[in-house]
Amino acid sequence: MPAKPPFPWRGWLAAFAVAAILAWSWRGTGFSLAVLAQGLPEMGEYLARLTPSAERPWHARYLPEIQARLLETVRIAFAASVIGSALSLPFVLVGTRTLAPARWAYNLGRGFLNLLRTIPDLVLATVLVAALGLGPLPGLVALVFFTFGIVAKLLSDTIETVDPGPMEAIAAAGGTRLQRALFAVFPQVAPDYAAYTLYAFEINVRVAAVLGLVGAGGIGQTLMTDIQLFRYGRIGLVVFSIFVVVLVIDAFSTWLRSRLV
Amino acid sequence: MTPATRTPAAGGGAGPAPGRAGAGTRALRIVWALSAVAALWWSLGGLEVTPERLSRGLPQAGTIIRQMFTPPNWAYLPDVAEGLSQSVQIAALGTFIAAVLALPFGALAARNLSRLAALPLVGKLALNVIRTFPELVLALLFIRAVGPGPFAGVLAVGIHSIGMVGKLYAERIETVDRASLEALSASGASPLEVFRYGVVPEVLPDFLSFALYRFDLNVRAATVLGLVGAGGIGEKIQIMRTAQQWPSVGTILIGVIVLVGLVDYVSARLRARLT
Amino acid sequence: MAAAPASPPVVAFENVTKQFPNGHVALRNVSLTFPRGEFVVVVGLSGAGKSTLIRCVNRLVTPTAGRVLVDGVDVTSLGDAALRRARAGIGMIFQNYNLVRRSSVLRNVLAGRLAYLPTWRTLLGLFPRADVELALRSLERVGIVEKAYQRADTLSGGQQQRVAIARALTQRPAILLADEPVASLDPPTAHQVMRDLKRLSREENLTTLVNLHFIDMAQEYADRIVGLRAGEVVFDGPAEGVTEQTFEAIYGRRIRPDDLRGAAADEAAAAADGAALAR
Ligand SMILES: Nc1ncnc2c1ncn2[C@@H]1O[C@H](COP(=O)(O)OP(=O)(O)OP(=O)(O)O)[C@@H](O)[C@H]1O
Ligand SMILES: [Mg+2]
Repeated sequence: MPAKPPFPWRGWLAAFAVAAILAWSWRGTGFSLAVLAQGLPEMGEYLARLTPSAERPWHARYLPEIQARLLETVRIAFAASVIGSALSLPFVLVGTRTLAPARWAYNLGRGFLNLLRTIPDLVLATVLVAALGLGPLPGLVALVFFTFGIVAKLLSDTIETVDPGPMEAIAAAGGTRLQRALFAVFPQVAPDYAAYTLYAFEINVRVAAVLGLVGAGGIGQTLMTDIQLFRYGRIGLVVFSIFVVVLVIDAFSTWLRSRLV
Repeated sequence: MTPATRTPAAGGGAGPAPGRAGAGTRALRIVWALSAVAALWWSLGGLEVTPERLSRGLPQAGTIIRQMFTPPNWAYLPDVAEGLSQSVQIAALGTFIAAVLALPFGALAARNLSRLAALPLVGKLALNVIRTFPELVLALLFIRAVGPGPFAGVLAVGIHSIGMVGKLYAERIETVDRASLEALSASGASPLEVFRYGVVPEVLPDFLSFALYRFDLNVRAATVLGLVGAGGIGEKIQIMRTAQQWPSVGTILIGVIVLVGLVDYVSARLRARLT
Repeated sequence: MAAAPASPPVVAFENVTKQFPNGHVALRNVSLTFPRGEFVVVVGLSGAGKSTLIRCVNRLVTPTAGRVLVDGVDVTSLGDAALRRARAGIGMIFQNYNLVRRSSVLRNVLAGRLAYLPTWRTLLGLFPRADVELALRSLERVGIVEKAYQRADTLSGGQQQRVAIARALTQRPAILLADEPVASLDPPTAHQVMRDLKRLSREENLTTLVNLHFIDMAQEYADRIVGLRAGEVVFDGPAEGVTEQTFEAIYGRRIRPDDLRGAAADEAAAAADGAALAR
């Protein structure tokens, strides 16, 4: 008979640790199925009030404002995607091992990028609302940072895996760092770069839709006001229109990306 | 304004013309570049982003940022720690709920488990729909059901995460060798048993890794939920921001950065060991 | 020769036809009976319908016409639960072993007990002691019990096929199906696995249906050979009388070197070695 394998201590320890964390979280968050069961009918009622009905129809007169706010949402997302990904282009000259002038510059660039990426988008937006005032501007700036972080990271990761041959050729011909980047690297990663920008745009639309909940512009602003004023018919319509816009833009952008790469 | 509009021209133009040599390429590039600039112009124009606003706002932002960190309010640190641990709790429980509830969705959406071709399509559609509702909107809804606080945050994170986790599950299940499942059903195993003995052992390490990845994202989400009253450090951000207690906001920011960085690191290390 | 003529057939095909949804007819009005304990090899060119035939026995393929009787029960009309019960008594071995790669060998073999246990037990992984012992004994019989706690994907191809055989044995089946069980193995290993199959089939008095590509192996191991061409039975008789001509009639073409597995390859290898030595 074969020797039985040793008892899997590590697996059980890990399972025990996870169970302990979950128990701690359960207590700390006041999670309770009883409360949930009690509250669900009320939530159902609330949801029912959000759907169009005879007493609470989705009035066509809500549409102009919703449309305007949705447009603002898309504008924020689009502008942030373009500006943020544009800013990430020069960044790769320090943030990529193969293009950085020195090791310390690379480490500094990557460090900055990692630091930037730890700040949650909406936390940044909240702070910026305080600094720049209510409206789309703080949302735009927050998303520019966010886009920059994501595109710069993905782009420099891609550049590090790119065929170094052309770069060596240009270096051999006496090309500068900038020339190497412009003529050997960027042409190789251009489709990826476009795809990352689109990817950031998809995320930005989703985030821009809720920026207004912290006062940073877009359709979320309407949603917040409507919730505070209990304008049920409008809440339903706004949530539904966010849903449609996000799905449509997502599908379109995903399709475009699949054609790029 | 000018640098911001000129650089994207290069970016916008680089995209659609990769490697395609030819007479029209240059013209095409210019067209793309110009339309990107025009679209950006249109977007910014609608956003009241004017040079005056920027020149007024940016120095003010600078002042506030200086106040945040020179020095931060270290006395506030215990409160920050409390808020952060609540965010972790929301993320942990929410991730657990999602990791469990995503199982049936993932199995439903996987093409190689279903006898009907339509079911996976329905499953994938359902997952996409779930993903489309942002955590914050869900949080506002759950506050209706269970009142404001971290419990609503747990539910929002848990439900929203099902979308992504379920999709990852389904894609992983689809790479499981169909033949090994067939062997099990040929020996008389029921569909549930085929899942338990054919699918689970193959996918479990990857499923755990997806959950850890989602936990990482959920910790970020859970720092924000408090902004709409669903618990965690976000509530303290909201309070201190409204009270214009900038040094305390600075302390919170440092705490959030440290926490997110730490979770990111630990999650990546654990995931590397799983696979 | 081996069959006891009086016993009723364990497996019987009655006018079985299988037409796939795309219109292709893979089996055409097949009628065959297999008595207890017979070791049958099914031969035929690729696409002749060999796999379809043996998959009809445990209804991995459902015939479009006719009946397949297993122990007198028509499996084509069984409901889900009854079908699972019927499948429990039919072991099956595949060309690519089809093990759960990340599970241990023992787990894979225990899977042969799933149909016999209540679902709550199997979902919790609580196998009765007797089943674990049965699984270990099956592994012993195929000679790899020392690998019981190793992951299945750490085993060689021949060892994995033995695990698959042990899994089938653990079902305590009356019928064994094998779909090209040695096609992925090198000649010596292939012969070992075929010898194991034949031995176990004798010891347990199993009705065994094996699909094989190679005519020399068919001749060596079969009690009876069934030849298929384009979904029809074109030969059915004891292995003794079978000659190359018979195979040429079944295949509808001349026998080629690649229709042979064992000896030919061994001799070729030996010849190559000799040539190498001579040089
Ligand atoms: N699911 C299916 N749909 C349509 N046609 C099928 C299907 N499965 C098998 N066939 C066809 O039925 C015929 C018989 O297939 P089968 O797999 O039984 O052949 P085989 O004799 O086992 O061949 P091989 O030696 O290559 O395994 C083939 O022509 C095959 O293409
Ligand atoms: Mg076959």
